[in-house]
Amino acid sequence: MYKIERMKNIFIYVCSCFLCIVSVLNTNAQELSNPEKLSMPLYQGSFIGLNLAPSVESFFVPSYFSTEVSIDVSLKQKYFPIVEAGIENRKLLTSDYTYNSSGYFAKFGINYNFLKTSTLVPNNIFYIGARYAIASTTYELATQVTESYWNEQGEVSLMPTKSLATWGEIVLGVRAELFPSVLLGTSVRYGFAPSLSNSLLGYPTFIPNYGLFLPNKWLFTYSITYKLPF
Amino acid sequence: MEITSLVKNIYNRLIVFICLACIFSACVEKECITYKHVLVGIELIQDTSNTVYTADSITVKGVGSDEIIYDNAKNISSIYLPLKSVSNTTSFDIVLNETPFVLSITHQNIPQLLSIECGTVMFHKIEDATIDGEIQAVIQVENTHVQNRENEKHIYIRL
Repeated sequence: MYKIERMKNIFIYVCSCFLCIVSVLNTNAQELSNPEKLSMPLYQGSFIGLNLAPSVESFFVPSYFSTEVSIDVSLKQKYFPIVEAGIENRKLLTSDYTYNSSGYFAKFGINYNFLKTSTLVPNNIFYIGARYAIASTTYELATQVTESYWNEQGEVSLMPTKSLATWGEIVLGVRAELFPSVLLGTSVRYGFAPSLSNSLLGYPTFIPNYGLFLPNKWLFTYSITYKLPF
Repeated sequence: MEITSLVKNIYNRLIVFICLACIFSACVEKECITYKHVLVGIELIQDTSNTVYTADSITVKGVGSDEIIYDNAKNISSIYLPLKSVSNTTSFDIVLNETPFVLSITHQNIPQLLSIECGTVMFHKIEDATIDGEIQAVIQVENTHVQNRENEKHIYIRL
């Protein structure tokens, strides 16, 4: 019950932070608004993106596989509601332990574009945003006991265990058109307040997309995005 | 002219962000800085006053081990002991103020990978704790979760 309450609080906190930022920025934006912006249709296009970092890492690290895609919509070139989702599998094998995990994640949020609206370069954005993230993972661990006060030898295993995690993110990023309808982007993110749904003694070492279970951390994305032709 | 300037501006920002991101990515800590000891914390309590009891001397040794953990330690009110990682019962021979007794703890062992740098540790879930011997004391399990947290207390021995 406490965990659910905490997840709810994180969600409210992320949304509140974002709304505060947007309302401040929007005040300035209104001062700079022009007739072109006022007459602009609400829907300005949809974008589908691939986060390159996990895909590249998956290519070079055999024990790791992850992929992440995103879909966002441009509303008056200012607001970009976005959904990001993906999967992540890890298999760590050493002489001391074997760790396997597989999971998936989804992030919901919105970006706010700082740049002035433009009909000439409508797809370039420099944005701040917020995300509410949720991830599910199943993990198992087998470890060899070799050194201890008790001089024990043997293997101890943790059976496959499922865990649900949530956290919040504040995002600052940029996305620019490289070729017509093809955009490159990068973002830096501050992930915070990770929370697990269960109160088991152990915990998943890696949360899909968030990584090590730390109280807060910096995250980075490098993405290639395609503007859908509708 | 304006388009070129704006696109150039965007690309400049993009490059700056990529550089900053790379710099931050390179700052990942590679050494283990996490506290790795997983010890059950036992505190002595004066039952009548419900205050911490300081023993004049205490000696602790694991049953089945030759190594002494506390060797006639003076003026001590809490001890931290390692539990077995494979077996589910751990016993200690304790001599408290020249009164010997055996403390037995039954527990589950749960392996935990802290990180790639730190490797694994063994967490424990205490199921029961008993005292056998001449000592007049009551044992109380206060916290069943034994993790890698420094100075955490799990069991009270009420004297």
